Amino acid sequence: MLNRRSFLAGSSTFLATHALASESQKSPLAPSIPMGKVDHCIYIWLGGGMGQTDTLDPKRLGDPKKKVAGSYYKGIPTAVRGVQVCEHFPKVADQLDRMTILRTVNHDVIDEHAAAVNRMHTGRTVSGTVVYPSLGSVVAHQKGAVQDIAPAYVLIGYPNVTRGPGFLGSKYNYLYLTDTASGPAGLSRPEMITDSRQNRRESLLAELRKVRSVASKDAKLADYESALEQSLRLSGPGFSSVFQLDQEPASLREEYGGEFGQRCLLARRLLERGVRFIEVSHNLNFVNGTGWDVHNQGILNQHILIRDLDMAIAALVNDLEKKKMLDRTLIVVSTEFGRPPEFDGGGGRGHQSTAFSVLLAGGGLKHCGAYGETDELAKKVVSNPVSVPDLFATIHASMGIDPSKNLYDNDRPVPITDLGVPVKKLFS
Amino acid sequence: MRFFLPLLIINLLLVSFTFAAEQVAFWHFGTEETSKLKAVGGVNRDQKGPRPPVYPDFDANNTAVRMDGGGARFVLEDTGANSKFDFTLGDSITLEAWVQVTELRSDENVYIIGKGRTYQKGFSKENQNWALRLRESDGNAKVSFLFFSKGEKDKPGNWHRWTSKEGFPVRSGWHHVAVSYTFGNSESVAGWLDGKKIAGVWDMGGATNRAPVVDDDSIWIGSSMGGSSSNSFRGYLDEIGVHRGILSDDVLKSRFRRVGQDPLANKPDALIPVAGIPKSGFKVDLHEGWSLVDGWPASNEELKSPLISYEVPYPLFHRIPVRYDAWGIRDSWQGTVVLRAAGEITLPMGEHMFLVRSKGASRIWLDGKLVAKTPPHARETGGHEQVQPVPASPAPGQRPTGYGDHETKFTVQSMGKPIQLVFESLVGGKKWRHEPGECCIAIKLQGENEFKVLPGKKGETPPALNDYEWEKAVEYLESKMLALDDQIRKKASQSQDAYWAMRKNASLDWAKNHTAPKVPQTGNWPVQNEVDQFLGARLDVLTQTAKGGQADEEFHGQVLPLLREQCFRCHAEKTRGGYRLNTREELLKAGDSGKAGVVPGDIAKSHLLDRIRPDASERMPPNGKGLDAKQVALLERWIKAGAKWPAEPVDVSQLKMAPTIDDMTFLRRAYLDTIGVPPTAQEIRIFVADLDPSKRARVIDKLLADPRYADHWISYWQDILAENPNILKPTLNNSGPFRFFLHEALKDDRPLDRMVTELIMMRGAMYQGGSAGFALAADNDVPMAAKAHIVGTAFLGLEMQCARCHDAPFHSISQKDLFQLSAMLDRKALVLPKSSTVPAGFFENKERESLIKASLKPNEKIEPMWPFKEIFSGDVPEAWLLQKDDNREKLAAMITSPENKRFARVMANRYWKKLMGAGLVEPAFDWENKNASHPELLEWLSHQLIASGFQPKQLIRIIMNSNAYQREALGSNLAAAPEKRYFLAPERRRMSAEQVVDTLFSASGRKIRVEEITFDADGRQSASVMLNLGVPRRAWEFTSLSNERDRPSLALPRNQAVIDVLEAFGWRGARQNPATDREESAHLLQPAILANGTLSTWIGRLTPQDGLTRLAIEAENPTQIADELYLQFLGRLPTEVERENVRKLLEPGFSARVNRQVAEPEIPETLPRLPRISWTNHLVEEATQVKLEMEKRAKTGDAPTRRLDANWRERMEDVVWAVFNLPEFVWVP
Repeated sequence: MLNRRSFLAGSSTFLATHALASESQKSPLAPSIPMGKVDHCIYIWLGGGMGQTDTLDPKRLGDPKKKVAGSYYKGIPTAVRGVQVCEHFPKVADQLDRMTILRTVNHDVIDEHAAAVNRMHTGRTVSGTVVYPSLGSVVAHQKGAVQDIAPAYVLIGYPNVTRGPGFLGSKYNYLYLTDTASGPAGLSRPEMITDSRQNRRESLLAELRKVRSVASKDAKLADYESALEQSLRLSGPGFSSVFQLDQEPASLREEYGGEFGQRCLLARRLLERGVRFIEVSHNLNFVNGTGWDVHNQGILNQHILIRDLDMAIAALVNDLEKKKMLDRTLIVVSTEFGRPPEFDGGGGRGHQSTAFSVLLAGGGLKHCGAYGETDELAKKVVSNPVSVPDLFATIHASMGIDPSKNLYDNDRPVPITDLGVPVKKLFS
Repeated sequence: MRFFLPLLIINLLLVSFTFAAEQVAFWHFGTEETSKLKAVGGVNRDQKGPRPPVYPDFDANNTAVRMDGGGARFVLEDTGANSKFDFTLGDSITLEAWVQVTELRSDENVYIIGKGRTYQKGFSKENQNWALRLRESDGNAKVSFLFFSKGEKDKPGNWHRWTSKEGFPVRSGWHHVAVSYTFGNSESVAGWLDGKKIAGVWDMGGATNRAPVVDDDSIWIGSSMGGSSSNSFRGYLDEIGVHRGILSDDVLKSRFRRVGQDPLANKPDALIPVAGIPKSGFKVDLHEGWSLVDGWPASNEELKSPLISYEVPYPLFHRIPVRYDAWGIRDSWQGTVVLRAAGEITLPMGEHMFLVRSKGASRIWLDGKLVAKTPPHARETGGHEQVQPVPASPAPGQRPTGYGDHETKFTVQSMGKPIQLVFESLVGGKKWRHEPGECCIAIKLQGENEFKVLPGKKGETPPALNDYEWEKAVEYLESKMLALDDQIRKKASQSQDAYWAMRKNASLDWAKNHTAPKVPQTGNWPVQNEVDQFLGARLDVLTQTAKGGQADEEFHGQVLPLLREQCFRCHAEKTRGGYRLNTREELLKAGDSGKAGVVPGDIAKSHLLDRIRPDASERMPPNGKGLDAKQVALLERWIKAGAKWPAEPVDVSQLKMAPTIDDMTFLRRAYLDTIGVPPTAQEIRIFVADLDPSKRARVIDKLLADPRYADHWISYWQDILAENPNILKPTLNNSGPFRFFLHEALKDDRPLDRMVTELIMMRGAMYQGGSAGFALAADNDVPMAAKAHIVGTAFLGLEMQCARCHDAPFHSISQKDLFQLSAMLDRKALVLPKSSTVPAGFFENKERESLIKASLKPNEKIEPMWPFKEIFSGDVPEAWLLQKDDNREKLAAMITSPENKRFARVMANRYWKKLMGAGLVEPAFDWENKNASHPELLEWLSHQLIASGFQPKQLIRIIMNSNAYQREALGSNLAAAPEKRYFLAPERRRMSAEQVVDTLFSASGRKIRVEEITFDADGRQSASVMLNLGVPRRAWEFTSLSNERDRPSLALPRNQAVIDVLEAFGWRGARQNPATDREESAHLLQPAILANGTLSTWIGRLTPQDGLTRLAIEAENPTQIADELYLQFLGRLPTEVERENVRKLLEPGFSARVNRQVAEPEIPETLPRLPRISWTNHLVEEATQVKLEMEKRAKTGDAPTRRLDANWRERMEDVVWAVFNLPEFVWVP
C-alpha cells in the first residue's frame, strides 16, 4: 500500500502553493496532531547513503561474490523482541528499547547525491522559484536557541546549501565547525591570538568605537552594533569553553570513541549550553574510502563505520540518560537514501530510495524498536510507509512545532512540511 | 561509389560461387544515396573514401561515412520474423567492409555492423545474431566475428567470438575486412584482411555447432549495446556488405587492390612545417577539431588551418585564449586543440639541458628533428587513484611538474648558432576542458644549476622555475592573455555591429518621436540636475495641498493601513467579486452580490462587514486567521461615523532634504557604487585637494570608464538572473557559468538591449561561460519555465513564482501565461508535466472555493505565444529578426523593443534602486498593482535610457550626478508607501558581501590568493561533470563549493575562508532562484566572522610585500599610519582621539621596528609542498590527511614579514584589526 498522500510525491512546487488553501480549510488532521516537548535535536548525518540491509533492517545473508542479493552481515537480536539489527550494532541492540528504527522512509531521488541530500534536509524537491530552508533552520526559526547566549543551530560538518536557511534568511543559518579540534568559524578566536592580544584588540576597538558612537535612532546601525556585542560575548571565554572536550572525564571520552564519537560528545556539551539543533556529520569517508557510499570495494570496511556509529550512539544515549536529558533530546540518525540488497560489479552496492531506514532515539517518544515493514529484501515498503514529509513532521511535532504551520517567503505561504503527518504511534 | 565492372567480370567467370552468395544488403555511402538507415549521434556523411590512384577500383570522388563514436550509429529496423537479415542453423553469412580506424583503445571491441545486442526495450541483452567487429589486441585492430548461441536444454546460451591472429595498426589508412561463417559448423569460419585469408581462433565461449539467437532486433552500424562508447567505431566506413552464403576466396581476394602505400598510413613522426617562424619570441598557432588525444595529425589537411595565432614572449603556456562564437560569446574549443609554438633560439656554446612540461601529449623539434615527446593526457578515473608523493623538483627549490602533467628532459649540444624550435602540445579533447597545465619549455644552461623558462623575445625576462617567479610570470602572461581575449571577442562581436547600429537608430528614432515628460521647475530645493527638479516638484505639490488638508489620525493611522494590508491585493487594482476598496467612491458601489460595499453610517447594510466577521460563510480575507475582533470593531466604528476618507495628511515640517555629503564621503560612495572598491588614500587626497567645482562629475565619468565597473555590477546580474553554476555535476537548479558572458558584456559596454538579447538567445558554450549556460536548470522538470520566471522578474517586473504550478492568487498571471513565455524560450510547444501541476484531489472537499486555480491540465500542450498584451501589444519589425520563425529571437526583440516601455522602466527603476537604496517602484521585480512614487521621473529616466541607445552608464551617470544621490544616507523610503517615498535622502546601505571582501583585500593592499575553483585540478573530467572556474581575482568569482557529499577531501580551505565572509554578508553561492534584494539585516555572524574568521587573520597579518607592510616600513611616524589606515579602510581621516589611540599603541619601539637585515623584495617563506589532491584520488585516506593539513595552513595564514620587529608588528596588526572591525567599516557612507 502506498502512502495515502503519495499522489503528491514528485510535485515540485505544488505544496508550497498549497498553503493558501490549506489554511482556509479545516485540516482533518489538525486537531489530532500530537505534540512533544523536546528541547533539543541532534541530527546525525550519514552522508553517502547508509544501506539498510547492512545496518538497521537486516535480511537474509547475501553473497557479494556470487551476486546473491541479501545482507552483508548477520542480524542479531535486540532489547526489543522480534527486532533485529546487524551484528556490528551490539550496543545499539542492547539499547533499542529507547529507540525506533523507521524502516519505511522513502522518496524518489537516487541518481544524484546532492539532490537526495537536499531532500533529506529540506523535505522538498528543488523548484527554482522557492529556496526551502533546512530542518535545522526551520527549528532555529521557530524555537530560537534554548538559552540566549547560545546559537540556535550548529553544524559539525561542511557548509552547503542544503543545510542552509533558504528563504528564512541568514539569521537562521548554522554556525559550522569541521572538526572537534576547532570551534565554529567566526566564533573561535584564531589560535595565535593570545589572551593579552585579544584584550589589547578589544580595548582598542572599544575606545575607537566611542568616537563615532551611533545615532541610536538609526535602527540599522544599532542592530549591527548589538550583533557585534553579541559576537564578542559568544567568542569570549564563557561560551567557547564548550569546545574544550578535555574537560570531560577520559573514560567518557573513550566511551564515545573516535573523531565521530567526539563530535557526539561535543554535541551533548553544546546542547547543555543551550543550542537547539545540532547536525553532526559522520563524514569520515577515508575509513573505507567512500564513507557510507559503499560502491565496489568501499563495502569491504563498512563494518568499521558501523561499529564507530554503534559506539557513539550508545555512548550518547547513555550519557544523556545519566544526565537526565534523553527525554528532552531527540536523536535522529539520517541519510540521503538506502542501498539495494543486490551487489554491484565490484561487490558493493548502488543506491535505493524506495525504502530505507532512519533511526530515532530519546526525545520522550514512545519507542517500539522498529516501525514499518519492508519486503523480504528491504526493497519495497510492505506496511506503514513513512514519507520524508512524515519524518519531518514527526521531528517537528516532537519539538512542539506544528508541522502544518505556514512559514512565509515574502508573502507567499509555505507550510513547514509538505503536508507531513507525524508517526502517531510514537506519541500515543 | 565503387566501380563494379571488374567484379562483374569475375562473377561471370565464377558463376557457381557467386550464385551461392546472395547480397542481402550493401551500402556504398555515396553522396546521392538514400537508404532507410537512420543516423544517430555523430554520423558524418560525404567524407573522403578510398580513392584512386591508391585504390584504383574506386570512383575518383568516392565518399565514405565518418563515425564519431560515443554511440554514433546507423540504425536499420529488422523487417520482422524470417527477415533477410535473420541467419540461423545451416545458414551461411559473409560480412565485409572497408574501414579506416582513427581510434581504438586497448582491449576494445568496436562494431562495424551487427544484428541484435542493441539493448532496446523488449529484447534480451544476449541476442547477437551476428556481428563483424574490430578487436584491439597487441596494438593491432583484428578482424572479429561474434554471435550468441541459442540456449538448449541444460545448456544456456553463450557468447562465441572468433578473432583473427593478424591485424593492422590504427590510423594506417583504408583496409578491407571480411568474415564468413556457416552456422552449425565451427570449422567453417574464415577471415580476410586486405584480400588475404587470415587465421584466427574462437577465443571466447569457444567454438560451437549450435544455432545463433534470432529475433527481430535491429541492425546497427558503428555501435552496439545501447550506444556504449567503448564499443562504438571511431573512424571511417565504406562498402559494407552483408551476404547470404560464402563469398569465394577469389572474390574476397579481389575486393582489395592498392597501388603503393596508403597516404594516411602511420608514418614515423614527421613535422608539418610551420610558416613564418619569428626570429624573436614565439608564434603560437591553435588548430582545433583534431580527434585524438594520443596521436598527431599527419598532414596539413588533418591539422586544419589555425583558428587563432598569437605571440608569446617565452614558451610558457598557462592557458590558451578563450574561444568565441561568431557573436563574440564564449564558446568551447572543438575536439583536441593542437597548440604549435615556433621560434628561433640562440644558445651559448655548450651542452644544455632542456625540460618540457605538458598536460597533453607533446613533441619538440629542433631544426626539424624530433628530440623529445611526452605521453598523452591521463584518462579519467573514479577517485581511488593513489595519492602520489610530490614529484621531485628539477633542481633544489624549483617547482615540480604540475598536477596531471608530464615532463621530459634532454640535453642539447649547442654550437652557438640559431636553432629553429617547434613545440607541439595536444590541449584538452572532446571530453576534456582545454587546459594545457603548467606547460612550458625550460632550460638549464651548462654551468648553471637552475632551470629557467627558455628565453624568447628580447627584453623579456623569462622566469626561473621557482614558485615566486613562476607566479609573477603567470600573472604577467595572464594580463596579456586577457587583452588577447578582448581583442578576439571584440573582433568577433563586430559581426553583429551593423545589426545593433540599426537597433540603436530605432531607439533614437523612438526617443525623438516620443517626447519625454517635461522637466518641472522647482525653486525651493537643492537642485543639481533634472532628477532633483522632479523630486522637488513633487514636494512643492505636497506642501501646497498640505495647507488645505486636514489630518485624520485614525483613518490614516489605522483604517487605511488595515484595508491596504488585508484587502487591496484583490480589491484595488483588481476587482475580485466586483469590489474595489481603494477609494471612497469605489467603496460605496455595489459588487457582484448586488450589495453596496459600504453604506456610510449603516453597519447592517455594509456588505464589507458581512464578509470580514470570523463566522462569515466565505470569510475575508481568505488566508491567514482573518481579522480579529478589534479590527472588525475599528471598521464598524469608522463606517458608523460616516466612512470618511480625508486627504493624506502631510507634515510639512518633516519635508527636509538631508544635507549634501562632503567630498570624502562622496568619493567612497561613488567608488563603491561603480567599481565596488573604495578609493585609495592617495586617490582621496588628490580628490580633496582638487578645487575644480566639476570634480564630482569628472570622477563619476572616470569611474564609469574604469574596467572594474564590470567586477562590481556583475554581482547584481548574477543575483537577478540566478546564475548558479556548480563545480560538481549540475543539480539543484544549477545553471552553467554564464558569469563570464555577463562580465564580458559589461566590460564591453554592450547596451542593455543587446546584452539581454544575447542572454535570451543562449548562445555559445553551456559549461564554458557562454550565455548558453542560462539555458541549464538541472533537476528542474521544465527548465524553460524556470528561465521564463527569471526573464519576467528581471526585465518585465512580472513575478510569476506562483504561476509555475497554478494561476497566481494575487496576480493576474495565469499558469498559461508563464508557459506560453516558456514555450517561446524553448522554440517549441511545451507539455505541462504532472509535477508542475496541482493534483485534482487538492480541490476536492474544500469548504470554500480555493483561491488558486489550475486552468491548465497535466499533459496539456502550450504553444509559444506572447502572453502580456497589456504590457506590449505591438509587434517587432521583421528586419529585427534574423530567423523569422524563431520564437526565442522574437521574444528577445519584444522584450528589448523601445516600444515595450515596461522594459526601459523596469531597468531604470533597477538602477535607481541600486544607487538610492529604494526603488521608485517597489518591489523592483513585481510591478503588478504597484504605483511609482514619481511616475514622471521614472518615465523621464527610461526615456533617457532609450535615447542613449540603452546605455546603462548613462542612467548611472544621471543619478549619481543628482543632489538626491549626493545627500546623507538617512533615507527611510524603502518601507514607505509610494506616496510617502520622497527621496529626501538615499537609504543607508550596508556594503554588499562582495564589497566587504574586495575592500578588505584592496584596503590592505593584497591580492586574493585561494585555490583554483575546481575539484578536478588535473583536468581529467569533462566540463559537463566538473567545472573549473579559475582562480578568483574579485569576490564575484567565487561560487558554492557544493560539498553536499560532505567529504573532507573535497574541501578548498582558502576558498572557504573567503566564502564564510561572503555568506555572512548575504551573498548566495548557490542562487537557486532569482533575487533582486539581498538580505541586509544584521546578525551575529557578520561581526563575528570579521573578528575571528580566517580571512581576517590574513587581512590583519603583515606579510612580505603586502600594502600594509609597506606602509609600516615606510611611515615616518605612527600618526601617519593611523591616517593611512583610516583613509584606506574607512575613507576618512581619523579624529584627534582616534589618532591618539593608535599613536599610543604604535609609538613604543617605532623607531627600531624595521629589521634591515632582511633583503628586499622579501621572498615569502614557503612550507613543504603537499601531495596534490583532485577528484582522481580524493577517496583514499591520505587525501583527507592532506586536506586537513591544507585547512590548518589556511587557518594559520601566511608567515608574517621578517622585516618588522615581531612585538611591534603584532601591535600594528591589532590596530588594523580594530579598524576593520569598527561597525562603520561595513556601511556604504
